[in-house]
Amino acid sequence: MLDIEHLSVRFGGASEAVSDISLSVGEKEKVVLVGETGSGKSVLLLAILQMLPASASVSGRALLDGTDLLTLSPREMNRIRGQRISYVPQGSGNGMNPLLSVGYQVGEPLMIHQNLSKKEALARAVAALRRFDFGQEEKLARQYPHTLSGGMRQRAMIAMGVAQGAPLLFADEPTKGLDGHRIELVVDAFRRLEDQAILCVTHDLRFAQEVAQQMAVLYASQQVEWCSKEAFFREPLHPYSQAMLAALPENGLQAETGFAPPREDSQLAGACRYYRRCPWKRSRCRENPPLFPVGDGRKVRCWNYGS
Amino acid sequence: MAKRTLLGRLGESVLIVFCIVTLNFFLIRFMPGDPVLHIIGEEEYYNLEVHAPQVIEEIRGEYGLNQSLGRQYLTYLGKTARLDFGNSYRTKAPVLETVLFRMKWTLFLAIPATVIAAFLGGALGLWAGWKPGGRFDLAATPCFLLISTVPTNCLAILFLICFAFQLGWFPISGITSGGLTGFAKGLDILHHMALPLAVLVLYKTSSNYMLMKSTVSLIRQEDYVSTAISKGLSQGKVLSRHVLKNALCPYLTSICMQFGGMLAGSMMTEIVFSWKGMGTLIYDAVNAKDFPMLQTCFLLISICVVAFNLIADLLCLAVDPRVREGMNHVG
Repeated sequence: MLDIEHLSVRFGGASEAVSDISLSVGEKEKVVLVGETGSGKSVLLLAILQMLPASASVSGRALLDGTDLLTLSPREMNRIRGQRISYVPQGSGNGMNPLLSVGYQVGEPLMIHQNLSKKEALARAVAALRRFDFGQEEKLARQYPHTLSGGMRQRAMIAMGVAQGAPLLFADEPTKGLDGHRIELVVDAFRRLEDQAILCVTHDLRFAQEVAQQMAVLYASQQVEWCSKEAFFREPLHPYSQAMLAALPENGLQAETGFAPPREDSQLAGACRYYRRCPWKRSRCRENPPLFPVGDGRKVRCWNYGS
Repeated sequence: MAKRTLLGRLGESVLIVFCIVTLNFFLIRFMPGDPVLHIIGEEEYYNLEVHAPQVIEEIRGEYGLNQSLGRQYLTYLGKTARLDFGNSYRTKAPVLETVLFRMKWTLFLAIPATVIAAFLGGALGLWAGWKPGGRFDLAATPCFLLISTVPTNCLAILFLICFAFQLGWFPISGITSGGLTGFAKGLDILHHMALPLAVLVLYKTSSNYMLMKSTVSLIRQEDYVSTAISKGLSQGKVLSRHVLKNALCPYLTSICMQFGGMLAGSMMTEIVFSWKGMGTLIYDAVNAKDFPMLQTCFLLISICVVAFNLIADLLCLAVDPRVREGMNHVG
């Protein structure tokens, strides 16, 4: 339903924050984007929703059921946001307005897109909260965000994203700043969204393993691998994907060397962006590789898999 | 719980006013020099001191100045409670009457100025803060910055020279030309009011604009604003429900402070335009050492400040649930 084609984002004269990313999200499909902080994951989501500041220039296409979202006017975009695509911001921050009750904020998209009265929207908001088994949902709806714990707030925001019933959900690091138990609650909340397609950004591999069907790995604003979750965790192809998995505790906690996040000066102009950190680098890698298809719809940006 | 908080804040305010009343008494009493000197004037005093010292004693007795300090204080408290503030040293007329009459004219100028500036500065600041670096922001911010750096009396004199003296569009000074009645008088007052009102509005608008702009430009970076946009809310709704609501608490507090300070706040403007309000009254009273008048003015000014402080707190309490809970913990 969502096809992103050659999407790039540049802020002013700086280098690209998102560089030529292409991926697709099918009906009810769960796609997870992983990568280090600063790899351009969140910018990608905001670019598709046309929510970047005016200084950003976005190129490429983002087709939602055939309509290019990047060409829509702000007014037309207001009908897409919340109604066709809902967005779940990071919960550790200030994603909910501190002066409005949780119920009001969960029901707000319904008031706008379905012209429901405040009372009807509140009733639907309580129903949406109930889907996630908070307990005492009526009371929760009357509470203000600052009285909620981090995990509660994150789940309430997921409820806010799904209350409207948008077929596609964008989530920005839904587990950031949460402890293990609360992450489980968020995983549980995501698992209940069987009927919705999800495009989720995270740097939490374990969370990705729980919810993803399809994985995209981003490095230094470029997509370096695109594969199914099973393939990624069983047999990662790109050296960066392998390094990420090797850093997991069960795989020996081998920390990746080099700078994170990748900086301008840690890259060689025109070379593969992973060049400086790559254990397999050779002279060929002084030229940035394209995404090579390697079968089963899998793609890798590395000279070891094509030429 | 909320009721207890309210009562607590109210009691606090009453206590502050009582302290001000007391301070008002002792400040004047501990000033150097014989109070009788201030009452009858320097020349008369030295004259009497040499030729008829018993007259000075009589005056002292008349004003109760020969009683003990404690007794004087109690008498003062009693009279204050009955709103009897004595007579002016200068005009011998009852102080309260004069002050209330002058206060009416100050409020006539200050209330519209504060209200207009609150809406104007708020709206313009909201727009500039929402689009920082935009065309409006780039044009308006330097103008308002310039206005707020120029002292009010300077701005007032500039206006006077320009629009009253050179162009002759407005009267130079005063409240009314006199001899008019009914509708014509009303129009005449408005005509006189235009320049001082414009100066006050400009001045207050620029400071309101700055506050609102900086508040809003911080709020627009908050995650909940992105959340609101991501829900598909129109720009107007994002601004009114999410941005403005969060900017309201600091802004209302500042506006309430302006209301609190309005009795003496337009003093410079009043003096330049000879607007016979409280500002000029205080100015004249200081020059004439008219202590009862000054005391009463100060008392009213401080009550006004304390009252609007209380109102500001209550407004924030109504807007922000976090403040409500914070206060409950303390109360």
